[in-house]
Amino acid sequence: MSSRKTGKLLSKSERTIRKEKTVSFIILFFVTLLWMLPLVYMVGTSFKSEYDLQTHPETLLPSSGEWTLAHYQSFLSSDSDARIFAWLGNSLWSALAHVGLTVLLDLLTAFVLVFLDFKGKRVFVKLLYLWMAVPGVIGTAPMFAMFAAIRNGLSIQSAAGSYAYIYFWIVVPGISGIFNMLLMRNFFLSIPRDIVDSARSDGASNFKIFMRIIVPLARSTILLIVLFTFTGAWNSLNWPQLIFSGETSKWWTVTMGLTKFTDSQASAATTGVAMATSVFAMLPIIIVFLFTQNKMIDGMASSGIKG
Amino acid sequence: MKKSKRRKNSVAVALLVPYVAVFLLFSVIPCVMGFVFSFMKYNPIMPDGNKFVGFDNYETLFNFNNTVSLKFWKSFGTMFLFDIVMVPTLIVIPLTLAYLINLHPPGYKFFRAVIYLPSVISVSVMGIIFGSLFGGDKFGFFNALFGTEIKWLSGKPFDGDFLRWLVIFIASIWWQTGTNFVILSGALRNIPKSLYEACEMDGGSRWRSIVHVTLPNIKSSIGICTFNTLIAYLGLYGQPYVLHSAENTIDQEIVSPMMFIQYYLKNSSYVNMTGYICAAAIVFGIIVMIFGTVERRVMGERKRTDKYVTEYNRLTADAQRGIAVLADSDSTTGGGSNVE
Amino acid sequence: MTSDKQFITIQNVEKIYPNGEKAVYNFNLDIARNEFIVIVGPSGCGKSTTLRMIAGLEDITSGEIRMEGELLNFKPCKDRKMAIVFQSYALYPQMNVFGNIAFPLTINKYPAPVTDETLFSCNEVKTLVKQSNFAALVQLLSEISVERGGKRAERVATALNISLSGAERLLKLYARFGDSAEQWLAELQRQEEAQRSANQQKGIALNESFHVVDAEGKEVIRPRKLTPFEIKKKVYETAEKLDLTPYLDKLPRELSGGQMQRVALGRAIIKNVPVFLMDEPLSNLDAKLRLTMRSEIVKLHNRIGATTVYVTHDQTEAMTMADRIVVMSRGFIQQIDSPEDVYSAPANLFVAKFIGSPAMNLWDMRFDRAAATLTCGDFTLAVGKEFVRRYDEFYAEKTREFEQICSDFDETAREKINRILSATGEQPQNKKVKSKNLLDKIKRLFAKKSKEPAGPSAEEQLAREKLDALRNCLEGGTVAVGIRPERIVIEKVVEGKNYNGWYVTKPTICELLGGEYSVHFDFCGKDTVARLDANSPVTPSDEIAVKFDFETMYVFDPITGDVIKGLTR
Repeated sequence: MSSRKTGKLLSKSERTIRKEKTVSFIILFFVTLLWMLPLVYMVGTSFKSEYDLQTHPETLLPSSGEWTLAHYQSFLSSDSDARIFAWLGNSLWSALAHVGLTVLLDLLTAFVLVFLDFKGKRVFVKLLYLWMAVPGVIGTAPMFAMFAAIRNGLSIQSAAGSYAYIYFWIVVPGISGIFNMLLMRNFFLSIPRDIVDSARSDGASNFKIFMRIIVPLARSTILLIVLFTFTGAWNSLNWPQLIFSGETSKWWTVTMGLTKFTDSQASAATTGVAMATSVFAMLPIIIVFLFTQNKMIDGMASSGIKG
Repeated sequence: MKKSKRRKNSVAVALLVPYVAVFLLFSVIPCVMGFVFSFMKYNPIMPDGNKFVGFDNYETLFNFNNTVSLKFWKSFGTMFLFDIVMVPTLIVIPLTLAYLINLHPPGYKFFRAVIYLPSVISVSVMGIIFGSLFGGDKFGFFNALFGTEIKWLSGKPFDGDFLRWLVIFIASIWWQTGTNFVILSGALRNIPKSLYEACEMDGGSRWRSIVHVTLPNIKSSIGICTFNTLIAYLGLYGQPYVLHSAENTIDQEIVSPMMFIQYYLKNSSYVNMTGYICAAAIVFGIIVMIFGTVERRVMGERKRTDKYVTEYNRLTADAQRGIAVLADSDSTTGGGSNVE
Repeated sequence: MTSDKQFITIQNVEKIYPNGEKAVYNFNLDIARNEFIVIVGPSGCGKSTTLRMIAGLEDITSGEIRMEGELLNFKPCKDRKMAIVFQSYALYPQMNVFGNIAFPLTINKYPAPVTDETLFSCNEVKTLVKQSNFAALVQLLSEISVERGGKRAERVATALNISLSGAERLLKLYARFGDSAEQWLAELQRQEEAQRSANQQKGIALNESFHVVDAEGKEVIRPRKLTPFEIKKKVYETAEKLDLTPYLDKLPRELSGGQMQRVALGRAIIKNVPVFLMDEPLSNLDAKLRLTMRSEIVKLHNRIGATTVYVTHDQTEAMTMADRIVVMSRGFIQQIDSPEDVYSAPANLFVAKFIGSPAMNLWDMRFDRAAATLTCGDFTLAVGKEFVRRYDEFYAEKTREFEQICSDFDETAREKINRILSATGEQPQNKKVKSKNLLDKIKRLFAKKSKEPAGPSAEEQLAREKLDALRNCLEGGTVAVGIRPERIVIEKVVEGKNYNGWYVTKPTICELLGGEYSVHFDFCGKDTVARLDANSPVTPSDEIAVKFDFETMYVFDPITGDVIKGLTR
């Protein structure tokens, strides 16, 4: 008789779980709403008509019937100040090149540090750990000086040469980041040495071991490094600002180019175009994000970034 | 045997060359140069006048009557005040959200994605959005909403106008909660469930399980998040750069050491001050290093002791000694008030 | 009302997970006080779920769990007076061994009689001074007082086995009066009297052991936290029991698997609870350590005398440790018996296959009712009239049972069929395979509606098939015949001896296991294992003769899995 009763009663732990889930749902729901507000505002405003922008800046979305693509058309068609395509192109290729080189270098170096032996390995790793504590800001000014001095020394005249030279300095300097390399090394350390040893006893060369065993295993760590370096490169602002000063705005990166809109007082006149440009600039990242976010977040979560 | 070892050695070294070359060229050498420059009067454009000046640059930097140095220290103070509030906030909010996400309410994957999303947006887009939301005229979203004309982004933070810093604070939370949030929720998820159950069996309340299970298990992740956030916000640059008003004076713009360094480097009329800037960068760098090290120490492992083993051994020895005393007594009372 | 035989009673307990999966069916078990129960079964058989329901970590869908007659179902697990040891040990990684063992004591309050510390300790010291070797006592006190390192009172208390306040009093007396016993006693007397009169003024009454009593003369019990010294004493005691004292300051990650296991045990022991639950505690250890820990746990059980419920998938552990074994499969209890009985009298095919290493030899043989023989190929085995009678009885009864099941196929009948499937080891029909594919989900949505009203379910179909098969068996059919390896009589073929009635073959593998051979040979199309004394070495090239004695053999019904005939002697 009591079994029927107990079957319907929720026990205390089940009740608390439900309660907790409800509470967390409600809180997260509102947090998510708050989090989406700026994005909705951005997208909404980019579709607002000039009239709407003047009269209703307080709405998130355009008034009904006032949706317009005018702002998109204005920067896509005309040769306006916002050279969004050039910026996007610059940013994309340079960020990808940066990411590719970083991953390659990290894989290679971490492989050497973990699976090959050479004299002074320990000292080398220790030095890297020590160097991690040295903030990069110390080197900014000399690097800028180096940049200028070498440029003068090479006396680059052509536009293409200047472009290549500048982008060399955008892409290369960051690729030897220690944090990412040590992240990779720590992952390699967690690979059982037996795997490598057995492959070696099967007659695999170092190159084969690297390509066929290590790289596939490191996929999630690679993804993590890609994520870190890509967002880092895409968002970097100080360094491009330094070395692009005085260059044509066509060569800028997206992040730098878009600061044009924040340099001046935001006004109804520029808001629409600014928002449309932002939406457009965000598109590539958002598309990649939508497809990979679950994996990305899981990978980031499970790879255990620890101190 | 020996030969093959040498060969292996050389292969390893050859493979290391690219990394080491880039590392030396773009990390070590600039820093060393920075150190050298800081003792020089240095001008990269006109190298003729370059000479060593000893500690002159540092003296100037610590001379608070110098207007430029005063700017540096003021910017440092401003940023520091901001960081004291910002860094803990960027741990507490992500941690709270991560805890809530880990209860896996319906739709948590969606919530998680939305909260993480701003982290992949570039700082200038963030600036455009928040600059427009907090626009200083009546066309700003919030001004229009409340019918006010608050100049949100004008003025110097903590110096007559607190609002701009508030906007930067809010924008930073929105923009940068994601990364820490994801790292911490991963750490939370990796806590073995049996630990919670063990704590429950041992009689621990919800609060106890947070204190004794949750927090200790994510301590290292909290450590790394704090470290990263601290370093990032000591080098504060992008947010104040994009969230400002065109009316601001230079003085109101330079609100962090990074902005200070950047401003004087970018502006070619200050090119003869390169040595001084290097000195400022080194002083600032050392301060960052100290903060970083202190953070690591605080969050790091406690020192190992053998307190309990020693105590146990001593008490066991004492109990042995007591036997002689008790030899005469046939009955002794049991130890203490008994607990059933 | 409840005897020691029914210390914990588990009645009709079932578990259905929120996703609709049924993990435990109708679990009934009475656990006696101090009994060592092992729940054994393959992974996913519901054994851990059962344990977790007892512990209170998992909700009970229906049924009751009682301890000493008190319903536990809705009691939070911390109030259940149980301790659990997990497979992963679940040690708090940030705490050292001391902290881990002490943890339950540090966070809980325990009911204790309220004591007048002053009077208690005065009495203690008085007794000590009167009865012990006073010179040695003074000597000890003087030594400890001058030694550095603090915590003198704790040291004195440990040395003389008295309470902490007693030790403090003693040290004060020594500091004030030196080595004059008379002055000590006088001072104690004075303090005692002062406290007594104070008590009288406040109206506090004490009994002879200095516990505060209420108006009816009953001791006042109040929950209180243990003092740090009490905790230390208990932890050191426990660590001593488990040989953990050298590791007290180590963190879990610095310990080996066996040490971590002992810490986990220590944390359970220190709670001083009457029931221990263990969830596969040894499966993370290596083979050798597992053996040692196995005996250590049994020893511990015998010493502490707590009732233990132990879950494992390893039948050897079950056989060696248990007072009683509960064999489970797919959520059903297959058999509850002593290790001897589970081994020698398995209730069904599943138990027969699962218990024993090497496993029981089982063959499908044809039963010829008319000739009263079991045949397999050329081999025939006479079974005798008694078995034929038993066979008829068995199938008549089973057929009746199934007719009843099929006549009114309801939820109980469905469960019965599932139970039979769990015993025979057949895969349950109509197993709902839930695909995560969205398309499949949608398909299922539509499929369900069209399927629901249609004819008999797969289980009912199966029941009818089984009924038909049972009816066919009445005139003889295939049965599963089994024998334990050690019951097979086997010898090396000797020239000239008559092996009529024996099965002569060549072994496929001969493994020397120290004192005996494990001889494999093919019989009835299956690999068969037998034991042979190592005195006569065999190799696969030798011929062996095998004799099966029907008395020592088991016969199971392959349709229902139940045993038809067990050991006759």
